[in-house]
Amino acid sequence: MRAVLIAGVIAVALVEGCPLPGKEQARRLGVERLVTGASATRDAVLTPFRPVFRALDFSQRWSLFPVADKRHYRMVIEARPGPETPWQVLYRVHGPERAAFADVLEYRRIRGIWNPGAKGPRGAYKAFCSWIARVVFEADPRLREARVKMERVRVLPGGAGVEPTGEEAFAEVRRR
Amino acid sequence: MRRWTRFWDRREPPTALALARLLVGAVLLVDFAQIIGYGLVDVIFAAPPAGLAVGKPLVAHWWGAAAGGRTFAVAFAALALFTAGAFTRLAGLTFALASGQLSMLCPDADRGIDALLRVVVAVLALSGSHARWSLDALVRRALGRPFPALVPAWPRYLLYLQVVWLYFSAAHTKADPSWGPLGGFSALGYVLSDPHYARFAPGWVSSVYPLTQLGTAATIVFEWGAPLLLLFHWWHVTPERPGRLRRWSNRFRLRFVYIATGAAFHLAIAATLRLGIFPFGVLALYPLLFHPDELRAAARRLRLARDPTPVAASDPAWGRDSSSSA
Repeated sequence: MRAVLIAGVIAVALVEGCPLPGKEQARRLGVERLVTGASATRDAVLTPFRPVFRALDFSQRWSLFPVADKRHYRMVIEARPGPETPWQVLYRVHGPERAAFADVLEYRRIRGIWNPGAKGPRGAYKAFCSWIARVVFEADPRLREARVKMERVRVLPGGAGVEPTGEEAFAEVRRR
Repeated sequence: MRRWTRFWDRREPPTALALARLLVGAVLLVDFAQIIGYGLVDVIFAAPPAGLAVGKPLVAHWWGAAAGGRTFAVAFAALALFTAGAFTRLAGLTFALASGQLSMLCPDADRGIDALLRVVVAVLALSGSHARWSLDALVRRALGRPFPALVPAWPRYLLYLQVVWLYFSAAHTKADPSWGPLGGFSALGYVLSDPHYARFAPGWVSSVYPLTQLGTAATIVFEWGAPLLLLFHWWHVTPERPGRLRRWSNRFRLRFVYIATGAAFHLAIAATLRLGIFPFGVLALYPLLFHPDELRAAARRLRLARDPTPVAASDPAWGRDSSSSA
């Protein structure tokens, strides 16, 4: 009985973890119908086991740096006493500006919230911006505006460093 | 079918499972201590506007605003008990479920390593990992009802397969051209230059760029080759059977070369990237790639290297020999 159960666990895990191309890739490869069918079959097979995957909140599709692009984001946190004053950089990743809360920002779980994914900012990004603005305002009562943004940087050939591209993204401003 | 049943019915000393329990528990406890130390319990697991918990799992419906703090407390307590080997089965399963709820409270703060170790803890909770180096084992011995010397091996085999699948699945998702020859094997160079992950300011990579290209190629070979570890292992435990590839694999100890390569990769990324507990969490599973007798033999060799005085053939701390050597 145990051996049969284990065989079942392995089979379900392999079905759930089986990599299927996305819609776009399937269309490019001309296997859209096949992939749609396989995906529907997989969903049907996994339906009775979804509660287990949901309870433990996991998947057997693992990825570690699936996309290794030469363009990266670099987070910058700025603040200013008022709209008429220039922005003052409080924190920039690997920059000389290193606020007291840098260690917290760089802790992996917090980074997971503010680091943009392949599709853009993650679900809790706006909540993060509100929270870090509160931290900034509490640390310095003179500051009345805080801004979080992502600078776009490009890796130089041969890994010789990164250079800003001039682009910025996902800027969020919070006022006291 | 009979062979399949016999394979999964094997028994062995609980050494590898107990060691994995201690190491996985220690890694997770360090992470939870960091959450507490940084004062992030009421940040990560509280709902906006006070916190970042945008999800609404079951505990949010039960406990409302207190869900995050209470679930974290339950998870932390369960983890501590699991690591110490006290009420291990209940503690492990409680941790796995509570950790799942924490993940649903703030999905972005839950990374792949958290999901992996959640599953590992659940399997270890169902195993005999508490039959050694645990409070449960101490109590059972004191009561005159010690755990059996041999425990089911299937949890270790299952987690062994999990490690293999982890790497093989990671290979599938590496679709970016930079991981291959068309992209000049530039992936690791880019990753090491990612400001958000790099431990050192970008620029140093240029001095070792060709090494990063080699590392990129080696990573791809390592991950796609993960199922080969099963073959290397099979050849290692059946050296008497014929076959040139078997002889060649055993002669060059490919099984150990593969495992050592994995350990080296994880230590290298721990040194050069800020990935938190990821490299250590996966390394904590590596004892499961060895039979308990192999771990005992390694411990004995280490002891002899430190102190060449002859030791007893059987060391109770590491258990007696089992009948299977896989």
